[in-house]
Amino acid sequence: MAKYRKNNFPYLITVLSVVLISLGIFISKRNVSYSKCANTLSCEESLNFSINNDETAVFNGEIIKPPEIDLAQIIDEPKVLGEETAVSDKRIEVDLTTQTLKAYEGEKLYMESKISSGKMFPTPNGEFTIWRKIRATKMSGGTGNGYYYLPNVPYVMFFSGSKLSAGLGFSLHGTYWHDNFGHPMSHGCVNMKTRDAKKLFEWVDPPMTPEQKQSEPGETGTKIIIYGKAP
Amino acid sequence: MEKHHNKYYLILTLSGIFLTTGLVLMAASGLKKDVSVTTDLAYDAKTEIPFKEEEADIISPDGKYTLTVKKGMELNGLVPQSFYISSEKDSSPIKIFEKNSKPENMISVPENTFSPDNKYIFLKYDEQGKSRYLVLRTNGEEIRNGVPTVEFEGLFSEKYPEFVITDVTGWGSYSLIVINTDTIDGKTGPSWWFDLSSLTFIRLSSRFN
Repeated sequence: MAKYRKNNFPYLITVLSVVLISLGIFISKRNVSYSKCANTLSCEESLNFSINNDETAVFNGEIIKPPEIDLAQIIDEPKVLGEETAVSDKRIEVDLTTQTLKAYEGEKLYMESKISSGKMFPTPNGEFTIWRKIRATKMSGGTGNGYYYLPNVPYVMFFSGSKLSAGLGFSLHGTYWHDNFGHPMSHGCVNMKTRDAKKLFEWVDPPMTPEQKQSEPGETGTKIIIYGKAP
Repeated sequence: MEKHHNKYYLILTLSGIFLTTGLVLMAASGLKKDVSVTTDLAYDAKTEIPFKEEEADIISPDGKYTLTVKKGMELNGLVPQSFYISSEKDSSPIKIFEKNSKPENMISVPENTFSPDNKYIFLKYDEQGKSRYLVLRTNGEEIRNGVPTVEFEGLFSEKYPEFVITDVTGWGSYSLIVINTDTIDGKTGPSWWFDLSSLTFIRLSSRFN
């Protein structure tokens, strides 16, 4: 009997390991819907403010010149921390089915615009908040024909939620490398026309500091609700 | 007793049928009347107010350029359309294109008309039952030496007769226009880039919906 038990011990360990690993995968799939970073390279590098006016961009195999950003002008740009009212009833709704963004203050529609959601990777559904606003940053990722390198991405509003960690780098942002709004084009982020992104950036919480603003403890960014299914 | 019941049911059913028929006939005559009135009004509108002069602005995605489309009065069955570009730096508009078209063939401006760098626009018009697409430079210059504009539906159907363009959605990059197609027998076809730098078409493995 003792021999029988001893011989079966490795099998028992294997079975237990398989069960535990399966359970782990099951739990992680349930709780973390998106484990993939929105921009595979820049996510690991940095999600911080950066302006690179001397660099060229790469998108869809084309080498392109990004619009220059004048840092001197940024200082004069929008609202500074403290100008906003303390209580905000702002929310952003993104309908992936119609590729449309609507921003509301209470029941009042502030703006509506066409967007481009994820084509290569899906834009996550759910309820999120903006945790950081950056006037510009660099985004890069992909491989082979899908490689992209985009300095000076303007008006970036990173969002996160209980099932989407901040480090994954999902955001709403301006777009200078395509004009195909109303159709999925991105790697998971919500692409906006630059003029629409600017308008939204200046309106959403957390309120602005000149270069970069991250929500402080106890401070909440504007709520984003993303729903529907991209065509 | 049962016979009486049957009689009542028969009367009730017949009344119902007559009532329904009456209502249907009344509704049908009413609809006919409505249709004829609408047709008359449409005809009057067309004859009395042909085409007003109109002007519309389309702003580029970055807000730096404006395309202004001016539509003139219809003359001898043709409507003149002029296209102007102005920018943040130079607010005085330059005329980049003009055309006189029959009312049914007038040029429209697609949603994503501006190239991302604002150097080009594309326009759409119908001709001989097909949608045609025209690309222009926003500085008014020729696309290439001796080539003022490029109409790429013609280029495409000549090169790929087995496909038909169903939609042109916008710009995939600075010089790549996104085209969706169907096969000639009506099945969903692939998406393509129209590469403006080489005037060629690139077939894509994924479709842009």
